[in-house]
Amino acid sequence: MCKEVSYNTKRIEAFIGDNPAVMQKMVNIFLTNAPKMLVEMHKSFEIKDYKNLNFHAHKLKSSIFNFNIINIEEDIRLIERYAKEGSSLEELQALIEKVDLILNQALLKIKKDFEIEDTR
Amino acid sequence: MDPFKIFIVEDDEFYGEMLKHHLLKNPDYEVELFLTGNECVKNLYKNPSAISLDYSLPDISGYDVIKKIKSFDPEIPVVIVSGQEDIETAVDLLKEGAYDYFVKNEETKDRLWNALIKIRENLGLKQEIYDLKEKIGKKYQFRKAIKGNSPAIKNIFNLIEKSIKSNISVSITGETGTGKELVARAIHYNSPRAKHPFVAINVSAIPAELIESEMFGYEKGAFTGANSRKIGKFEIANKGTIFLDEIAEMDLNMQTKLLRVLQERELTRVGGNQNVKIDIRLIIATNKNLADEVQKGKIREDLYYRLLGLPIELPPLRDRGDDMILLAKHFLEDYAKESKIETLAIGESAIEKLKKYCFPGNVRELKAIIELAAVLANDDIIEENDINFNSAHGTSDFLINEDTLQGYVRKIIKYYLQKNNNNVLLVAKKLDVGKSTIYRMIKNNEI
Repeated sequence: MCKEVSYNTKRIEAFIGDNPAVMQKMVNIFLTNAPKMLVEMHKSFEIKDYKNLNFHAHKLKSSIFNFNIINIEEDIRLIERYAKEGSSLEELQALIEKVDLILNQALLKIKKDFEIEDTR
Repeated sequence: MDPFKIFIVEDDEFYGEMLKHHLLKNPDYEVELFLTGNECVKNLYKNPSAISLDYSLPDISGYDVIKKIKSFDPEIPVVIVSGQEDIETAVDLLKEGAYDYFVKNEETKDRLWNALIKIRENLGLKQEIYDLKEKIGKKYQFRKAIKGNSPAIKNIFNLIEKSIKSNISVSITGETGTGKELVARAIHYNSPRAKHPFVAINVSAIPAELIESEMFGYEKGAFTGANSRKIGKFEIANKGTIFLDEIAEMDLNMQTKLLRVLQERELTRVGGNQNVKIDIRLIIATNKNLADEVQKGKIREDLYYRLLGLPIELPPLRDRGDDMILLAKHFLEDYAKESKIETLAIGESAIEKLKKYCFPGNVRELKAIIELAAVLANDDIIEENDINFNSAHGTSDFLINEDTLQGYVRKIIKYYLQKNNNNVLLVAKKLDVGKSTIYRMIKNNEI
C-alpha cells in the first residue's frame, strides 16, 4: 500500500518568507508546470529520448524537493539517473508511472488546500 | 547609489521565482528572471551587476551563455547555480570566468545571498578605486600639482609636456626635496598610461639581497620562506609606469639584470624559468650626477644610456625666484585646509627672512618650515620669529642666513671663544688673528 501523499511548504517559505501572495504565485506555477513536465517525461520515454527525459526529470526534481513530496523524492532522482545512463529501462517506466500517480495526488491535495478550482 | 541589478537565468520557473523573491528581500536589489539563455543575452544591454545562471538550459548551454556574457562585459560576475553536482563541469565553468558554482540544495539561497553581498562589496571597492584614480589624475594635472611661474620651472613644464606626448624613458635629477617623484607622477597621470598603475620603488630603501625579488617577483619555493608566488613591482606596473628613485644606489649585479629587462621587455621571476612580457614606461630619479657615477664605475655605461632618455633637471628652490613665496602661500593654504583653520597670512618680515635663506632641503624643507610657522604663529599672521630654520645639511645659521664678511668674522670668533672657554690667546692662535682684534671686538660689544 502506498503511504498517503504528503507535502509541505516549509522550504518555499524559507526562500520567500511569510508572504501569502507570493506563495499563491508559487503554487500556481507548480500546478501549471508540473503536469506539463509529466507529459514531457512520458513522451520522451516513449520516443526513447532519454536526454530530454533526464532534462525534465531534473527540472521536476527541484519542485518536488521544494514541496517536500517525500513519497517520490528518491524516485525522481532515480529517473534522472537512469535516463542519463540510458539504463534500467523497465524500472524507469515503472518509476515514471509512480511519480505520475503520486504527483497528481499531491497536486490535487495542494489545489484543495489552496482552494484552487480543479479545471482539468 | 545605483540599484544592484541581478539577472536570474533559470528555466525552472518555479525555482527561478523562489530565488527572485528570496533576493528581493534586500530592498537595494533589482531582480529580473529569464527562463532562457538567449533572453538573458538579449537583455545584457541593461548592464546587470551580477548574474545567477543555471547551467542546464533548454536553448543554449551554460558554457555558451557565460561566453556571451564575458564577451559583452568580462567584469560581470556570474554565479552558476546548478542541479548537477559535477566537479569537472564546475572547474570548466570557473575556468570560463564564473565567479562561483553552487549545487542546488537547501543551502543554495544562503550561499547565493552571501556571494552577492561579496560581489557588491567588490563592486563598491572597484568603484572606489576608479574614483580615486580619477581624483589622483586630477591632483596630478601637472600645472596644478607643480606650482611656479619662474623661468626655471616653466622650462620644466615644457619638458614634462614633451615627455607626456611620447613613451620615452625620463631621468629626473635634482637636489633632495626638489619634487622628483611629484614630476614623475605628473608625467604618468597626464600620459596615456594614466589608467594603469604608477609604481614607485626607492632603490636605496630595499636591501640589495631583496631588490630582485621585490622588482621582478618570485616563484613558490624560490628560496626559504617563498611559500607562494609573488608578483614583482615591474609586473604590477604593467602597462603603467615604474619609477625607480635613487637609481644610483643600485648595485652593479642588479643593474645587469635591470638592463636585460629593459632591453628584452620581459622578465623572469626569481626561481622561475618562464619569461613574462612587460610593457612599462621607465622614469628614474637621482640626486647624483649619473655621468659622474659612470666615470666612478658605479653605474654601467650601457645602462646609463638606457636610463637617460629625456633628462629633466629640477632647479633648486633658491634658483626659482618668487616661486618660493608662491609655494609658501600654497603650503599655508593646504595646512589650513587640513587643520580646518582660517588661512594665515605671511608678514613682510617673514617673507624677507625666507628670501635670505638658501633652502638646502628645497621645497620639502620650505613646506616643513611653513607648517611649523603656522603652528607657532600667535595671530593670523606669520611673523619673522615664527620662521625657524633647522636644516639637516649642517650649515646651521652660519651660511644659511646671509651676512656681511665682517658679520661672518664675528660669528666665527664668537663660536671659537665659546668652544675654548673664552680663552682669547688660544683662539687668536688658532684663527691666526691678533689678540687685540678679539679684545677690541669684545670691548665694542661686537661679539
